[in-house]
Amino acid sequence: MSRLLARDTLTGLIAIAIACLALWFGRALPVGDASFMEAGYMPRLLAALVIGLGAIVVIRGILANGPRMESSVWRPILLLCLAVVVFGALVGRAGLVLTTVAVTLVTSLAGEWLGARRFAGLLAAMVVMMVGLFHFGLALPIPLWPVLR
Amino acid sequence: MTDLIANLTFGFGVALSMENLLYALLGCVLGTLIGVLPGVGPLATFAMLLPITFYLPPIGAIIMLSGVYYGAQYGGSTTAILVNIPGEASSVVTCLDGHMMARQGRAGAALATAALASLFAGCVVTLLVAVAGPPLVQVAFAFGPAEYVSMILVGLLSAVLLTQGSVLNGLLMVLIGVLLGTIGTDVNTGTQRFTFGWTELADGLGFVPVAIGMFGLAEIAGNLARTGGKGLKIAQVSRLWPSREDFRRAWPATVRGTALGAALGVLPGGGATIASFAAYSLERKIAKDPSRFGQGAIEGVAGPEAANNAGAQATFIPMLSLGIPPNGLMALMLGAMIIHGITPGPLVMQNQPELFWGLIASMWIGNVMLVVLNLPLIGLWVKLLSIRYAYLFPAILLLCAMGTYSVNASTLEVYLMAFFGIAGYLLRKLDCPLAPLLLGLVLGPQLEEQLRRALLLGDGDWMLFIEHPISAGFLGFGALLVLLIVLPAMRRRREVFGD
Repeated sequence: MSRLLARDTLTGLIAIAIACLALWFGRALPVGDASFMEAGYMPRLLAALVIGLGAIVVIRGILANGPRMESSVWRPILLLCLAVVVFGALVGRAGLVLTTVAVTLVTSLAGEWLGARRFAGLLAAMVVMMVGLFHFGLALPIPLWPVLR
Repeated sequence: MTDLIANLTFGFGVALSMENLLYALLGCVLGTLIGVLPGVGPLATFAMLLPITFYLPPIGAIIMLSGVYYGAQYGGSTTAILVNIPGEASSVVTCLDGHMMARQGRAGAALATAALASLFAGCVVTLLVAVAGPPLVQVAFAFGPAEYVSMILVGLLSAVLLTQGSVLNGLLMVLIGVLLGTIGTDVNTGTQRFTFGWTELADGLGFVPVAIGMFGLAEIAGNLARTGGKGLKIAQVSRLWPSREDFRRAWPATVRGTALGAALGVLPGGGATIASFAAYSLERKIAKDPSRFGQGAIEGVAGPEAANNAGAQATFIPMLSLGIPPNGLMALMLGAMIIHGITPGPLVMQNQPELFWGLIASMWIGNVMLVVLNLPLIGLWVKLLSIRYAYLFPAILLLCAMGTYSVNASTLEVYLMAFFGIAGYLLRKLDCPLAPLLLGLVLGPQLEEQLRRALLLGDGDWMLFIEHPISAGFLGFGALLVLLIVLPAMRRRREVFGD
């Protein structure tokens, strides 16, 4: 079991999984042949190569029993991505100001806590930066305040 | 020769316009700024600023992005010397002797040497770009689809072979990148591939969300995980100018570094990083007393710094004349050009000479601007270094998110960026290099189109790639590279580099 968790083994398995997804979702694409390739030729060729190479990486990983994936801190990346999703969900509806505040709130959870007063300063600075740069500077058609429908 | 002078004069005419000077300055300032700030590499900077440049005129945008490109090289070495954190991969070796010099109270001399060596290399290699570009373009006009296929393949291959890390993982990343590049409407038949009914994907998977996710988000998260968002220790800068003795030692190293960097930068997959490593080992090898290296030898700063700037500038040669980006950063530059309606390649010089020559002239101007910006203002940049990361990363994240969103006003691309952020973080933990994936994604569509055209013309005979002499030459070069890298001696050296 531990060998399956070696870094290389995991890499190979992920690559093979991606290739299989490509084969599955591209199963309806016509292939054609080398003299006239259709839409499905390249994806299948690439998927086959990825599976072949991935298998080598997996086997090498199992045989070598190389280093495990270093234990990693997942909290920051997950929080940052959550902040990005919040941005995507709000930006068209809640307006630039509220979006900036919400995103800064979520983002800040990923790092050290600044204290209430400093955090308020950061919030204000972020709103000024975003509104100044994108609303006044580049004049993007993004509302400042929530759009009421 | 007269042609060259006429072209350069024309170029300076373009670059010296008030507007373009301003964009060059802006690019240099932003590049230095973000190169200096710890935890934001040039790729992330680039990805972040890219969308903003869409609102500029094409020439201004490209001039500004180039400014960011070499500005980040300068800024990166500042952090390497003062805080022992390489702002980017190509200043890793600058840390070794540069930071040691700083700890001996010679930070100013190290910074000045780095800046002047970079200036020298930048000026020389820009001239090389101007001289070598036009003939290469003539060669490129003789290329058919088969030649393009082989060239792209060798480019991708050497991008994997010449960067640190596992070769097999790198190859996997390239293939997955090319596979991701097949997403979207098939150009030849109009069939939708892997779009899942999302119209945003019909034009293909945008490289902006992928790049910002993998290099922006994943990088911030990596920094937070490592330091917990704490501050960094900074060396004091006192005396700025190198002593006469420093100067005497640094000068020849600069010339050697420039030559080495220019040669390696032209190679596909080469560029700044490999050049700086190679220059460092060269300096150590030819030094009378190699034990000084790692103890604050000024050659160990001058050589690699000249080489990484030379390498960075030389990557413009294949990029501008052949349309082949040799590394991840140039891949982003290529993407920027495409979004501005410029197709990089031999036609640029013919159809948009103001872009080509204006860019070259702006590189000289930018290099001079950078020295002026860096040396007298070093105190300001040092102050920036002491800003707590907790203030910085929310701003970076907001700019990344807004940058992605503003390209197409597409929320799907924002979500994709989040996805690629997690994917990039995981891949880093798995020791998979990310730049090859990006390169594959950018070059993939071109590779597929040319491959299909070549085989259509050649009636499906795969041997045609060996039968065309230029194409066979490229493939032979690729095979040679593989042999060289797979040789165990070379492999040991790569591992040393990887440390």
